[in-house]
Amino acid sequence: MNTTMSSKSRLTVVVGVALASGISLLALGTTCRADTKDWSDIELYRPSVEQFVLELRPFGMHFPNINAFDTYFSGDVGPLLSFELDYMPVRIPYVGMIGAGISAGWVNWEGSARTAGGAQTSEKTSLEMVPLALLLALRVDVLAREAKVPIVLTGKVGPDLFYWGSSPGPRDASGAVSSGEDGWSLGVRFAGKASLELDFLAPRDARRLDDEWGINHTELFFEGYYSLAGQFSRRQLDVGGFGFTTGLGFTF
Amino acid sequence: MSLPRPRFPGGASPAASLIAAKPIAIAALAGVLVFGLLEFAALPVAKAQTVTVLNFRGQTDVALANLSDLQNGTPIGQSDCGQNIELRFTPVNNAITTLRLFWGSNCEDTAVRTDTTSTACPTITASDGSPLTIPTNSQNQVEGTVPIASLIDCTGSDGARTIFALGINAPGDDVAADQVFQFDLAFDLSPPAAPTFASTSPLQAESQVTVTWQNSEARVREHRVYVDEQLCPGGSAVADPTALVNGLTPSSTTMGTSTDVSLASSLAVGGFTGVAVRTIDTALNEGEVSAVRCIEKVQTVGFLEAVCADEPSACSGCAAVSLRSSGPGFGLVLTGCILGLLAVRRRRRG
Repeated sequence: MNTTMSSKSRLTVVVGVALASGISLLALGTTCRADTKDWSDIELYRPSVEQFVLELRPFGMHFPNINAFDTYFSGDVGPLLSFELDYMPVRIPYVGMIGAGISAGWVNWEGSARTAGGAQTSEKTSLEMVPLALLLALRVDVLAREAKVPIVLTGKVGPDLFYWGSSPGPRDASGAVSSGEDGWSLGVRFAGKASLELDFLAPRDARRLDDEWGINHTELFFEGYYSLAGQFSRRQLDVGGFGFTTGLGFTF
Repeated sequence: MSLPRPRFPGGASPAASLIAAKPIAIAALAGVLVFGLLEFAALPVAKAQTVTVLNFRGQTDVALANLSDLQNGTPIGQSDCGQNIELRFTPVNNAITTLRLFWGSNCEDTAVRTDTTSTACPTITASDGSPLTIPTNSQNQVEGTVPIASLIDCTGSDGARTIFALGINAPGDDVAADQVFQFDLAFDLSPPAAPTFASTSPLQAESQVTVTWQNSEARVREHRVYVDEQLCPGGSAVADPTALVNGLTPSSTTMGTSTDVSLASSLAVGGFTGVAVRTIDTALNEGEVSAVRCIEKVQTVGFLEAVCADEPSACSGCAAVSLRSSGPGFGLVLTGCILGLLAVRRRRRG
C-alpha cells in the first residue's frame, strides 16, 4: 500500500514539474517575443464617445396620493419595475452632460376588497400602473471626471404620464360591477439621482468593457422622484406621488 | 571439425514435415471456418420478446412503461380492478399452443414453478381458480384479454408485480429460451386522503374568490372542485358531502391547490354557496371528498369603487382593458432595441 502511495506521489510530482516547466517555457517564450524598448505598438487607452445612459431599475416603490390606497394596499410594496434610457449629446465642460430621455415602468398592487362597513373580504382588488415619462436630464459628473470621486448627481424634470387599471371596476347605476376599468393621468415629474460609479473596483475591467462594448461606466444608483400626475385635472385619477427606484446604470 | 547431422526416421526433420503438412492444415482450417459461418448464417435470428398493450381503460395508446412506473407513470388503480387489459405477445413459436401466466421471479425455471413449497412464482388464476392461459392458435402474434383482478391483488395497497407469460411445451412443462415474455405492472389501490381547508369560516365575496386547500397526496393527477349552493344550505356546510358531490359535475379541475371560484350572478347578496374538493391520483383513484367551505355573497367595495366614491369625475369615461397582458411583450421589444443599439456602436468602433 505504501509502495503504491509513494508511486502515485512520485507520479504526481513528475507530472506537476512537467506542467510547471511547460507553463514557464510558454511564459518565457511570450516574454522573449516582446520588445520592451519599443512602445510604438501599444495603443493608448482612449475612452469611447459617451452619449447614452441606461438605467435598469429592478426595485422601486411608488406611493400614490390617492386616499384609499393605504386602506387597500398598505401591505403590498409593489414593487415598481422600470428602466430609463437617456440621450445626452451635449457635454458642458467641468459640469457634465445634458440631454433627454424616456422612462417606463410597471407596478401592481393587490389587496382585499372591503365590505360597506370597511371589513376585509376574501375578494381581491388590484391596481396596476404603467408610468411613462419624457425627461430633460442634467448629469453632473465633474467629481468623477476631475476629482476622481466616483459620485455622479443627476437632476431630471419632464412630463409624466400614468396609464392605470384597476379591478373590479366601480358599480354602475344598476348595481353591477365591471371586471375592471383603466385610464390615463398626466402630470410633471421631478427627480434627483445619486450614482456611485463602480469603475474604481476594477479599473482594467472597466476599460475592457469600454474597449469591447463601448460601455464607459457602470454605476449603482438611487433615484427619488415626485410626480404631479393627475393633479392638473379633476377628470384624472390622482396617481402621482412620491417614489423611489434603485438599480444598475450604464453609460455608453 | 564438423558435427554429424542428426538423422530421423524417413529421412526428414519435424520442421520439414510440418512445412510439408501446412497447406493441408490451412485447407482444413478454412473448411471448418466456412462450415461454421454457413451454420451460423443458417441459424434463425432471435427476435426480442415484446409485450404491448392493445387496450386498457378504453385507450389503445397506453405505453406498458407507464403502467410499470408507480412514481411517474399511470399505474393501475382501484377503478381498473373490474376491467380487462388486452395484450399482444410477439413472436411466439408456432409449436407453442398455450401461454401460461405466472407472477413473481425466476418463473422461466421449471424447478421454481413446480416447487410447491415456494411462493416465488405462483400461477395466475382465473376467477374460477383455474390457471390463466392464453391460447396461441399456432399464431406468431398472440393476443389475449386478461382480467386486471387476476394480475394483481386488488385487495392490497401499493406495489408492483412482474408478470410472466410462458410458452410451455406440454406435457414436459419445459420453456424454450425464446418463449419467455415478462413485464412489470405497478398498482396503487389506496384512494387519496381528503384535501383540507386551512379554515372552516365562510369566505366572503361578491363575484370571485380564490379558494386554497392543502393536500397530502404525493401523486396528484388533478383536483376536482365542486361548487354548488346545495353544499351550504342556509350558511351551514353539509356534514358529509360525498353523496351530493358524486352527483355533481366538477366546476373546474386543477393540478394546483387553489382555484378561483366565480359566484353565480343569480345568487342573492346574503346567500351562500359551497365548495368541496376531491383529489384524483395518477392511478385514477378518486379520493375522499373534503369538508365543505361555504362562501357568502356580500356586497364588496373594490379599490376603484372607493376612489370613485370620493372623486366621481376621475372615473368617468373609462374603458375596461386588461393591462397585464401587454407588459412582457413591450419589455422584450425594448431589450432588443437596447442590445441592438449596443451592437451597432460596437461594430462602428471596430
